[in-house]
Amino acid sequence: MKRYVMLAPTWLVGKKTRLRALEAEDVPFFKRCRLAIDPQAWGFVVQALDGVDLGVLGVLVDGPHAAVAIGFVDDVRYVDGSAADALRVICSGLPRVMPVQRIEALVDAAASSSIAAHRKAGFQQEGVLREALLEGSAYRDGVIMSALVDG
Amino acid sequence: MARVTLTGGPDGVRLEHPGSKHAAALRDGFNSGAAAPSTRWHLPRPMSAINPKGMRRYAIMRGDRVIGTCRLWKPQYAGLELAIAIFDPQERGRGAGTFAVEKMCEVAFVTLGTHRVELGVYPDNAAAIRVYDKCGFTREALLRRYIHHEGAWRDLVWMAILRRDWAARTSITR
Repeated sequence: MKRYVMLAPTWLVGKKTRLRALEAEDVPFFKRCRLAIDPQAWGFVVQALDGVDLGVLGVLVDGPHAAVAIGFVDDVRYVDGSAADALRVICSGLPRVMPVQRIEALVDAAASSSIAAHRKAGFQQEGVLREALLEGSAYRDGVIMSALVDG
Repeated sequence: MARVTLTGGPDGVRLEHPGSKHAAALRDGFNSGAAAPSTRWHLPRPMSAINPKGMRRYAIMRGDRVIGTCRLWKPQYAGLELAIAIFDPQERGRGAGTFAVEKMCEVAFVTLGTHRVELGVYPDNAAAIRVYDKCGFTREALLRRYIHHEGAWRDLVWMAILRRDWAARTSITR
């Protein structure tokens, strides 16, 4: 990985993580994070504050709505505060540049640590969408969660 | 591709593929502002994008009159999304909506082979929610501040029916 990517400037900085733009050379790392995001989404690499790449985050903005998805190489990032911090960073940063009202996430219903991380970041569970996620050839239920911009 | 019979609704209600003979009535129906907010609707799309593979739209007919419209479109979350509008208030509550929703599910599962049909409906539209309940849809979520309508941000009830639910229902009801 090129050095400039590791040190890429960003104002999307939280207490534990920073979000830098996803670069073409990040594709191998992206694949390790096991996250599918829409090709039209904004892509970020979630880094520790020292510049170590931890995971990726995608944001798809559709008018006043945004959908966010996050994935990590190591699942410990969902419980050590990194995932919640990165989600808080995007939820506070996105409304500063786009007029979004609602930021939602559709999380695998079996991924309890990811659901907990979203909750910790201020997302509220709204329901369970049955067979809304496709993994391999099997559909899985997804928990729909949202964070509203002014609470 | 399996074909679905689009006739047989109450009092002669049926679905037709929209053509030039339906265009004025569909235009006037939406122009009237009387289309019931039975489901959310997307922004108008180019006509060239109306009938791509995997998507369908129909005029809902009673006799020679176009009384509403319905369509299957790319989903917000998964499967296909259903939208329906009944233009004439006097036509609501007479079974046309139920017939159209049931037929759209049949088209979605039998002809298009999807695994899920979903829709969004305003929480205060109890009559529409009753229709979807009756057709086998399950209320899955209350999406907060999802849509801006009549001057305010409003929540949206999200409902869906899965292929297996539909198959179980139709095996019982047939």
